Amino acid sequence: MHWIHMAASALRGVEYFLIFYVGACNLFYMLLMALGYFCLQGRSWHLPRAEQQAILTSPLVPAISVIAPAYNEAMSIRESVRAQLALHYPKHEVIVVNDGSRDNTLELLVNEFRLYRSARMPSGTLPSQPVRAVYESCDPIRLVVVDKENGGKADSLNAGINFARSPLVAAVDSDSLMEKDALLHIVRPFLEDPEGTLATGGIVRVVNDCRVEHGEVTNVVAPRSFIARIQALEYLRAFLGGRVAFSLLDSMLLISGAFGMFRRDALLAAGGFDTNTVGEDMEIVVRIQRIWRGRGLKARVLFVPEPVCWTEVPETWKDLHRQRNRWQRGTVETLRKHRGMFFRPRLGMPAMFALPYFAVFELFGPAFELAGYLCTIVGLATGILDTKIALLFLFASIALGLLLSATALVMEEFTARRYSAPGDLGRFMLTAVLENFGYRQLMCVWRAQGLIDGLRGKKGWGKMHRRGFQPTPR
Amino acid sequence: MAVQVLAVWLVWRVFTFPYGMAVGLALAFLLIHTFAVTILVAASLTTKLIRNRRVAQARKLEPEIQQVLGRYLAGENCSLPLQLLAKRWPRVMASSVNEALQSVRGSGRERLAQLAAQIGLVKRWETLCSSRSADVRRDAVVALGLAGMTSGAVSRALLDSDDMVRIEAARILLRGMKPSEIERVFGFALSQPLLFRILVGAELMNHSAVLAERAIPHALASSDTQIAARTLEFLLKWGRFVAVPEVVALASHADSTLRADAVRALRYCASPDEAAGGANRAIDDPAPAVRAAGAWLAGKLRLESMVPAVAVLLNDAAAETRLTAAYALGEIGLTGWAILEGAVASGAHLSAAPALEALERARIGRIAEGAF
Repeated sequence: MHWIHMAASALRGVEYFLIFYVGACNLFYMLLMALGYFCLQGRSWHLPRAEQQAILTSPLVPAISVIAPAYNEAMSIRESVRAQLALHYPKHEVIVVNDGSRDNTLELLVNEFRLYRSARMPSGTLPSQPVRAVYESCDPIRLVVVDKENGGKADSLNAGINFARSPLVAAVDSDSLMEKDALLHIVRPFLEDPEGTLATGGIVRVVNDCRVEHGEVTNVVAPRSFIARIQALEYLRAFLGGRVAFSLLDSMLLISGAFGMFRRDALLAAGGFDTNTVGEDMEIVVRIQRIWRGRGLKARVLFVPEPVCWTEVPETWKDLHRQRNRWQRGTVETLRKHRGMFFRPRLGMPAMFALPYFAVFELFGPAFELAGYLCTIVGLATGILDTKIALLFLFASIALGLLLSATALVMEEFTARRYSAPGDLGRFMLTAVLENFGYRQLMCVWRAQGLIDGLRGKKGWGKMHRRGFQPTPR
Repeated sequence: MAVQVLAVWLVWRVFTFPYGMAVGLALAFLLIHTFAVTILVAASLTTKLIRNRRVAQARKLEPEIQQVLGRYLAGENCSLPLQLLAKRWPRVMASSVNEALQSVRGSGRERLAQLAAQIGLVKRWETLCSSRSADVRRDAVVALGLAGMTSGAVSRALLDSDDMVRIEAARILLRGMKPSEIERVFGFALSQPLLFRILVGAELMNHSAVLAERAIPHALASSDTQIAARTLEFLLKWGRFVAVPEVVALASHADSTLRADAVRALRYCASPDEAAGGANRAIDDPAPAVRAAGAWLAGKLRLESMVPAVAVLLNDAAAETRLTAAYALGEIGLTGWAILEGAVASGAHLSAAPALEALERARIGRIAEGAF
């Protein structure tokens, strides 16, 4: 019977470790949120109308190339390109990279924007799949369409960077909508410190069920479907809490692929986006910081909470599974590729704080939390664990998770206040409670699977089904 | 953090929780945080209510105040009722006077400024210039500027820690039209980040003639290359013809970046002969950026005599110089186009692609947009 005692005490030990781990993970995130909150309260990122006007008329502003890779985006491409062309900025061009679409994305663009085959030559030399043709518009709009063989998102971004001519490039998803003044806000850190700033990222919000008119979100509402609403809540938590604090601590490792701005020379010097990873958005941010900081140069990567990019999130469990699996694999690949950065003081906060945080909490967090649920169930079923320990674990995971969501909602209410309908706050609160019973555990399973897939070196993106930005009367 | 720990410990000590110490502490933590979140939500709602009430109050009072202000501006002696209103509703009065200051000019604004001083608003704005909130400081600086109080608090605001406050102060000083202040703001702008220069640059442009007398030559002669480079940036981006002969000398500066900027600025700052001479010298420069600047200048000035020299740059080692040279040939006109056609037809490794792009642009009338 000795081994049974041994197993029981081992299970208890593991359970205590998991309680500590999951609790620490959530408490740490709560601390980051508090930091983020004070940061948001302390500085207004919003440029007053008069200053926006001054920027719009100033000849001194740096030009921006907005690069939007598109693969089979016939459903929403015209709407999103129109929105990108209508962005308020005095000097910007839109470069759509058609990544060998199998649908009629290119034809739609050619007809809609009266494109002609142009002789524009690339000015960068990043490797990418062969370019078939370059198109520009006959109309006085600054639109360039690069038609190339299929090579994935990172490959398309590299092709876009090659054809860009501006010192700053904004990488955006062609299925996302940017607010009119998004460029004016996201460019601000580059204007404050042009030499030291390498990249900036904006806040991404969920557009599902919001009213979209002429490429603009005119009525913001909480998504009707439960699965989209949970994701809207997750985005609030991630952007208003984590990113703001990481930016404050000079530890940004991730700029959302949906909307980020980079110095073009930094991207060229780093060799462009990595085409061998599914987490190219995180990998490039880590790599440019590694290169710049390694040379002893200032390398600011900032999150700007003001510019908003609206994105459509998956509304089916299958699509969500694919997305989360891919995100987790992307994290695994980046951390594995840059493992040499860990704890190198020369590389600053990303190496000393952010990478270890990602490795300990983001990478293994879901797997450990899942193990915690299993241990708790097994322990309670066999009588090895008493109710006290089970309650402690539930506190560490569910109660603290609930508090995190509630805090994110409070932050939203105190800062951006995008959801004006009184019922939305209540709906989100209810979602914050419900997500802890089933959804949270499912995410742990999927992310743990993503961890295993990432460690095994599994590749591939998978396709997400979209509704497109049709005006949705409510 | 310490308060949080203390609060959790106190709750745990005061109340009795089941399942021992660990669960008790966890529940205490949960209680404290739920309480904190509730308080924050309540505070948010209360702030909203107070704000709405203030707006409603202002909406109710503003017509009355504006009416009295209108009578005051028409010459009627309404100081007493206005003083009473200011005493009772200082916030609404301040915003009404501020609004009126923005819409009135000339003697009307002077009268309003007098009134602002009389009813204590100027003093209030001066106090607010030291507020902890940057937004409040900014609003106060704007209000003082509108009231014509450009010395003291506004002048000090030029050194504020917040960039937006500094920008407002600079604008107000520029609107004061005093040459000494304009020169001071220009000198200050040269040491400020790009954002400041962008936001104040357009207003500085209106004073380019005043600045060209002393401030710009002085800045160009600075031993700090950054100051000289930023001055050239202003001259180039303003796109205004300002006679600054010092730029010619800078086109031979030892620093190649500065040299390239100076060559481009010759378009606006030197006589046509001097500019042509500068372009000619630049094309033979060892630095590719300066060669590109020379070609650019030749294109903008449409110097047909320089076509052969620019054509040589179509085979330059630097890609950017090749493209700039092609665009310059496209801008020069038919002689340049002929060279470009020849380069395209030759299919030469380096020159054909930039020549084709520039030729296409020239033929559809978009060559002036430039390559970069």
